[in-house]
Amino acid sequence: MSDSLNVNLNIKAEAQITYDAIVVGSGITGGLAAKELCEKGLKTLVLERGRNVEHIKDYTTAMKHPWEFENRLEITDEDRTTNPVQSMSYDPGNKHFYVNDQDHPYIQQKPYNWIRGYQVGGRSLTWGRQVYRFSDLDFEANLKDGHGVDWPIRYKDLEPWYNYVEQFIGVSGCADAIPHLPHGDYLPAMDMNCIEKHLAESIKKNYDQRWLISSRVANLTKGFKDRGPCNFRNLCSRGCPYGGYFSSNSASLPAANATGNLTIRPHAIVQEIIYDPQTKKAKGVRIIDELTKETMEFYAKIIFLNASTIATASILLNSKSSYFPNGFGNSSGQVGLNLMDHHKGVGATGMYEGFKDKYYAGRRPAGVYIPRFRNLNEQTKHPDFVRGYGYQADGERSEWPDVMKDDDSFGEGYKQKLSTPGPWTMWMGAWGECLPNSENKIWLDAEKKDKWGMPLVNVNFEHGANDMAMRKDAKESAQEMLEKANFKNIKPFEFLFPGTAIHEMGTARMGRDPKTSVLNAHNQMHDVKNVFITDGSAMASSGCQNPSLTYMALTARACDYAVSELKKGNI
Amino acid sequence: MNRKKFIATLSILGIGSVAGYYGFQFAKTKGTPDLNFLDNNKDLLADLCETIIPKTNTPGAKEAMAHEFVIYSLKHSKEEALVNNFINGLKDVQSYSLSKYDKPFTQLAKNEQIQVVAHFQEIGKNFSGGLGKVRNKILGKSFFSILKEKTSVGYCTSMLGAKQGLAYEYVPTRFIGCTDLLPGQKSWATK
Repeated sequence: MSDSLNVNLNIKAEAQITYDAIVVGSGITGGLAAKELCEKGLKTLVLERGRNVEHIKDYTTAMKHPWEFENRLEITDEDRTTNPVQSMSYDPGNKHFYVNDQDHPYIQQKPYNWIRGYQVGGRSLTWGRQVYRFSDLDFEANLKDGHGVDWPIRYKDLEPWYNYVEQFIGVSGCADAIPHLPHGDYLPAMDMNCIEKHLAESIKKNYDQRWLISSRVANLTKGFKDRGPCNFRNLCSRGCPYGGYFSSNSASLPAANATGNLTIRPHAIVQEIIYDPQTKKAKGVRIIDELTKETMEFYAKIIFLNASTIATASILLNSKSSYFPNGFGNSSGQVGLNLMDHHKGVGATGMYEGFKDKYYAGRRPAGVYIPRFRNLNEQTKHPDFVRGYGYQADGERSEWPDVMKDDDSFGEGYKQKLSTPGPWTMWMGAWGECLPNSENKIWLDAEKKDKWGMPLVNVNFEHGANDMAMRKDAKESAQEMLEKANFKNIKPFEFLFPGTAIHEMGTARMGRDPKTSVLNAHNQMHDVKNVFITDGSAMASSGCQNPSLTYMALTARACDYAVSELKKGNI
Repeated sequence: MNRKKFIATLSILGIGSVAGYYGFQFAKTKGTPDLNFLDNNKDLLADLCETIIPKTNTPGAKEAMAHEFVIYSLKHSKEEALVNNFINGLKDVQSYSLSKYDKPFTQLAKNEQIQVVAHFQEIGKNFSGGLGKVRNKILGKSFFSILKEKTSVGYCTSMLGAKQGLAYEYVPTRFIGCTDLLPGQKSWATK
């Protein structure tokens, strides 16, 4: 498949500049949009601002041993200095799938880590792969507590599309019946280890409406659609030569390519969307070639914007005309506002004295999950905040990286400790919902530009009082759960680096009213009917679940609608 | 000395004397590190690493070439104080060995090498508790803690260390959440 993808790389774009559909971005939603549109028969051009990454062939570090990296798996001070933002997330094994901060500057009005991967496949190569559905607890939240605008859809609208997407990407996980965390038809869940089972039992015994489950994750515990299975190396973010997890590169783009309708144009930085005032539709897009800096135009009947939340909003804001003086499709003034990102990095760790005769084998690329348990109903209402958080957690025995820090001996005794499994430990960290707030926003700088002449993005983001109250509770609750399960040496932790959840969303939100939202219930721009936005920017609220699955369900649904509207002649 | 005691001591002695001591130590952490010293004293470094993680029935740090990682890591560090502390530490090890045993470190018997490293371990924890933290902040990590940390990483991520000192599975192919820990079973090299 990788070779045939090459055949359709439209590097020069000499012959063909007009397509049925243009998809901007090739990441987790762009790739899926391309697949859906191609399969529905549309000649589709995918514009990707970075280089091509071919499945398997370009996973250059995937099979490397730790000793094959000069600095082993540690980042260097050089990384910290030249890539202060991206190096918070990368290691030497996956660094090549992250942008260089020097080449891609932005302006942080307040500290905000904008972590990016500019290449074919985008961040679908390096994503965390946790996939949880939203429920009506999430879709009704804005309406009920008055933050943000009401979602124009409910769970029943998205449910078939969650099913559809899960059956394409492949999800392994626990199908426990949890009312506010609906499940699909999954591949077998990955095992829990004995300390995780112990904590799960303790939580079940001590709490109502609280669960600890195996994570639901887009790694394949069985072979699935000619991909996988997962080989339990836990090196996913280098790209998987076994196709053991879902990425654009391993699944969506090959499926799109198999139709013969796909063209991928790498090194294509979208400068703006071109508006045709006569048809009141988008006519196409203008790009800057990343390498030559030449501009060129491509045209299509429909455009899907999937550049990722901040980049999508930036493209809209940069597409100014006399018809849209404040940015493309921005009559509401909402483009760029309401930036949300989960807060994380708060919880607790603990040590357990038992199970000394037990261990595990293989490296599970996932952990366990404690779904939200606050503010589900009157019984679980918390006095200090609305919405809630879930915990990602992981149990393991202490191994050399832990021993090295905790032990102060050296010599034979130390070596023995390094090579012997130490006590069981549990780590629990919360991922919490972030309320929509128009003060959290991005905008384009009036003066500063990058090396392609594109205006720099300003990001102004800060977690509000509700988020902070939630964090306090998340820290206390984690300790309490560990105490009840007889853990010792329980230590709370809290560090907050906004942006590092890499779940940015909300800057072109869906809504019912064109005056207060950018997109309608089908992710179609209120102002321009042939433009659809289905990346994180569409989100009207953030939930506390890892959001990519919801973006993908919205994408598949919007593609279905767009093609049906196109066929009806409505767009 | 715990943190409270330290603060009390500070106020009794006055900040001046402590600051004066640190001022002197601080000067030694400044300046461009003499990186050639690392390459020129590989045997010394290899023996020091070996003292931290010695050969037993599995290879030690020297055979696993942990010292090569220590050198690489220090050469690529931008923490001047850390690198200087380490290089000064190497020099101190040499002069201490000579003055105490009249031999360079590399020619000492194993138990003598252990005594020398133990001496530097003691110096490293010279100030425990709150003062230790202050010391680390001002003067950087001690020679011993840098040596131990980098040797451990270098060893545990080396081919010999991972495969023989620890248990390394290249492609596990399966995950079993709960297994019986067998007698003598080593801990996993990678997470």
